[in-house]
Amino acid sequence: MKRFFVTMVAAAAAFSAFAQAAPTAAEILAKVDANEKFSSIEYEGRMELVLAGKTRVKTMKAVALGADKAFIEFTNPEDRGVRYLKLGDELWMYFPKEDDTVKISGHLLREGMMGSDVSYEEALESDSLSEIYDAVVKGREDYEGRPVWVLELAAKKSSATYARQILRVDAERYVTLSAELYAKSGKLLKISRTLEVRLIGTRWYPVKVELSDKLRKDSRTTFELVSIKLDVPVDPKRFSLSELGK
Amino acid sequence: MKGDAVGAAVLAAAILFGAFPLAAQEGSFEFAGVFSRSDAAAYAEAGELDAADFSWTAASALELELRAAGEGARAEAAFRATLLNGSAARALLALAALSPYPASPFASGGALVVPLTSEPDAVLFLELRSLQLRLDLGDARLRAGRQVVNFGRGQAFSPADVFARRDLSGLSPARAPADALRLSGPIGQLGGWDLVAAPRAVPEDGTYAARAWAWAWAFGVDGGLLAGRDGRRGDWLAAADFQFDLGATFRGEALLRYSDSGDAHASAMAGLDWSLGDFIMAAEYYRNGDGAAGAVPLSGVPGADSEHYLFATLGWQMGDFATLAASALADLDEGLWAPALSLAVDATQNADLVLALRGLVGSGGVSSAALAATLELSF
Repeated sequence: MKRFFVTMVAAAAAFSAFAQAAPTAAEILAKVDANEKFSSIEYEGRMELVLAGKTRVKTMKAVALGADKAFIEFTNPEDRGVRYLKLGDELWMYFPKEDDTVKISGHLLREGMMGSDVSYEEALESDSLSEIYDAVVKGREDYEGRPVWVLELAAKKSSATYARQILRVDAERYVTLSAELYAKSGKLLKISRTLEVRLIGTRWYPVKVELSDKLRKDSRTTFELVSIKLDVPVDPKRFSLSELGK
Repeated sequence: MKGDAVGAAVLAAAILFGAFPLAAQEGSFEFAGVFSRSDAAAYAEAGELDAADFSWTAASALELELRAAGEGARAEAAFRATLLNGSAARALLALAALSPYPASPFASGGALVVPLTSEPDAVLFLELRSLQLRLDLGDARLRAGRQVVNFGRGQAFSPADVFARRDLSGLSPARAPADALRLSGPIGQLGGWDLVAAPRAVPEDGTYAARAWAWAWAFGVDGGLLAGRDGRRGDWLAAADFQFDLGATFRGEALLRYSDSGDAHASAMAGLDWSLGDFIMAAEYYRNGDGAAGAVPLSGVPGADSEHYLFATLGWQMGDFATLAASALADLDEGLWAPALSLAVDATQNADLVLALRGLVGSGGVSSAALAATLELSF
């Protein structure tokens, strides 16, 4: 889920040695993880929330430095000027009308971010998949016209947001095309689908992803990267509480 | 007054002439706003129950925000015009008539009130909510003009918030803006400092404060310390605030006023909030040690110098588009409480509808109540 918050750039290295022997799950995850890493990113995003047949659109500008530092400012009329600052595992929210900074902690972490299907807990995940999960390859199949590796991930620690995940990773581009996210009880909690992948520079990036919360009726959130710049110079001083209220 | 007017004019000119060159550079220019309409039916006890106990009031408001940003500088202005009809307009006109210096238009609560003579029950209520220029000075930042300076943690009560007066007249507590100069900067990633001056025509009468704040990573505690001077009242100020999380979020504030005559007055607030499923709850207690100056007026009723207040709220996320909330503000000394029940509906993209029932209850029962519907559209 960190792809939603920090990057939306869960990309895979292109043109890998697919024709060779089938890679292990660790190798596949390593390629996915390795391609998620970047020194910095700036993007303009569009989040479409569909709930019980009604649609709400939120727009934002964001900048991130690595996986640990991110700054988002919402630009749609209802939320204009609302900002988020992520520093490691901590998250703050700023409301401009009240000049009010609120730390998102405790019970608030379970809430959906701006009403979306992405919880603050998910947004704060910054460890790579291989750090959080043990993985096995369950097979290879076609998924919406693409060859994919099917991976089953089991959480190494009970503190992981999801106990188990089923991933479908594009076998040529190493982009995660879908993920099924399960609770410890085995209940399916969420499904994410990559709707559009774009070649940016030498990397394939998912630029449009849909997430549906299976515990909410008729609910889905689509996140789209309208514009994206990678590895641009970013002043680290932007990621401070003082700057949040600027 | 003359000094204030000159100061305001200089500030306005600085912002106006600052904003347009900024907009003409590479920076951006933004225009946004909110339109709202509220209709309310009210009951106010006045002897025997009859038709005169009931009234209607309406407010049509337009808030416009302008922002210009350039390299290292920003300017912003927010202006709200409210057309008041019905009993609220009559009440304002009655207030003006009591003034020893009746004038038209006249000032009320930081706003300019313009009676519309063609409509005896209509007034135009004009408020300048924000008018400020921000300059980046290296790591520091200067903000000059009308702005909200938030130094508090409390939702309803915030004694450490020495610049932003709390407005509890609406459904949600709000902070009033102050005309101030504010210089602030970072202390590492997780802290900062502020120097704020809100001078008056006679500078000695102004309010001045310095504050340092930080989030202590190791302890998971947000905290701030303030020292200052309230020249108008002749008080030295010392304040502290904190917030930490243990599943529930706990917060507190304390303010000590030490007057030139040697009197000390301490006020404090303690509160917490937590959630259970779709329910979010919050409660705050306020101990007022500042007499009438620190008292909280309930539903617009002028406050006595009560010492003990309570605020509690319970919100229920009924679905993806509706929230039901019940809250109560209580003056424990006077035995007064102001309950409110509201339903907020996300009506459509950028539009919200709020239905609210509010009242004021004392030992003699319900003394006033109002049922209101508000539609708000952002653009």
